[in-house]
Amino acid sequence: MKPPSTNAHLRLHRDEPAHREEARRLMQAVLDGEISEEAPRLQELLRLDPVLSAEFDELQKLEMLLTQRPAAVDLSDRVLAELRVRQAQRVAPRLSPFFGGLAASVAIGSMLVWGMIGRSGSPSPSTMPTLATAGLNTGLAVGAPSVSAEERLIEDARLAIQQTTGRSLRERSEGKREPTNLALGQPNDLADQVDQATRLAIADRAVVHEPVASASGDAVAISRAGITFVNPGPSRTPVAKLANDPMLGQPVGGSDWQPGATRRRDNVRFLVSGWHDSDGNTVPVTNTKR
Amino acid sequence: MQKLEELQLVRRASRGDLAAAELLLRRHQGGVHAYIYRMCGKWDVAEDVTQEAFVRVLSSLKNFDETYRFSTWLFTIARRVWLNMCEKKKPSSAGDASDSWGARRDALEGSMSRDHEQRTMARDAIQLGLMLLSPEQREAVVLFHQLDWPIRLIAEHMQLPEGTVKSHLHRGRMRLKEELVRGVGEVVAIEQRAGSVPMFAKRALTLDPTPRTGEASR
Repeated sequence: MKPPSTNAHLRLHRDEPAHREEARRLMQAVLDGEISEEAPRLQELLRLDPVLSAEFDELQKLEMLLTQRPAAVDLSDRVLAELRVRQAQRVAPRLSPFFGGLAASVAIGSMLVWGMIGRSGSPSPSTMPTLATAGLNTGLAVGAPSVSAEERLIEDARLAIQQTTGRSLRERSEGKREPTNLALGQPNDLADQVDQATRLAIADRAVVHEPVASASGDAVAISRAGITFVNPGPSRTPVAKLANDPMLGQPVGGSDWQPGATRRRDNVRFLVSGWHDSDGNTVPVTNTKR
Repeated sequence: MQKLEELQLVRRASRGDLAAAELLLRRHQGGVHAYIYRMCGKWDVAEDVTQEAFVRVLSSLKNFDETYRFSTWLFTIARRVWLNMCEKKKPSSAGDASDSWGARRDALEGSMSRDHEQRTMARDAIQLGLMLLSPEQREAVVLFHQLDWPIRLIAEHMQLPEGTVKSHLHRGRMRLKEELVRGVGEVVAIEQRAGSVPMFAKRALTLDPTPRTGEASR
């Protein structure tokens, strides 16, 4: 008895000409990326049979359509919040309130110390943890969770930013437009307050590594809830040749950085794509929203 | 993302670096969500599965076997989470075998009515067509075409021989093409009754991939 053909599905009808099965096998091989669509045998079969030619055309268009992905999602806040809750649930029963409080105190203390050092501009960026890691690692070091402490810190940071910008960063306004009082690239009265908010020790921040050509050593970037604040540092001056710098480019729209000024942008229109972390890795700006 | 860079992020995240964990999350959430959404056709289920998969993965990074890619591990967990959810909620999350484009469209639209964008997506003819494939065909097509995975990796992920994956892929493509052509009349009639025929749907149903100026990008 003849074994069933592995390409049986390629013959759509019992009475179809045999060459169509071969042609469909070749078409699928093209779509699988195994052979070129210019393969002589396929071209010959397609020339001979307009039905096959139309079928191949449809399959290639289908291939194009299949690359369309669904709309992007951003679940990072949800995931990180759930992660914290589960971590807290795992550890909380084993801890006394005293140790929980101790962890929080140590976490806050380390951040404040780091914040003060950071303002002095003296330490090497490579030795500075981000506040997020400082909180987490401190908690782990004393055997107690810093989760609740960290959550409070982040909440405080959000509140501080809300107070200075007049808008909660959790809000997702329609079209995710800039709040009118912090318009893209425009100087405004709130700039100083925002600047202070970015310098608060209770906000997440990342230190831009010295070797980044377009940033000074004390530049900071804070990314929260889809919005990034970047202060390139007091010695940063606009330089035309850095316009295409992937790390700290010029703002979109032709306006320049002012030395030491904090700028706020939606990441999608913002040319800052990342910074170097303490391990020397390039870390992209994390809160990318459409 | 390069494997080495990904590995560094995983190591940092496993040491408690939240920034690294968040980066891993942001890099991969789109792919995982697209995979699950294309498999189940339900936006909210895809979000829940993606969230749960990431929580599980980020909670157990210390168990990560560095000989594998992080993304492979992540997708395996996501698939398991989804299959478990399907077991619990049979048959609603797994995708019914309805053969009607109208019924399928209504089911999709009913499951995600949160905003205009999602309603638009509910009319995504490709999604409608995918839901008419067998789960194996759908998974092979989605991983190969949407996520650009090689056959070898898909075979590993689906725990099937490469030849079987190819067979699912070939059958899936052929059926999808036939279903899209067959669905033209039905979906366009539905949309016309509703007062509009989205351009992208027309395009998909006539298998025309050319983007048009002014059409909302998705």
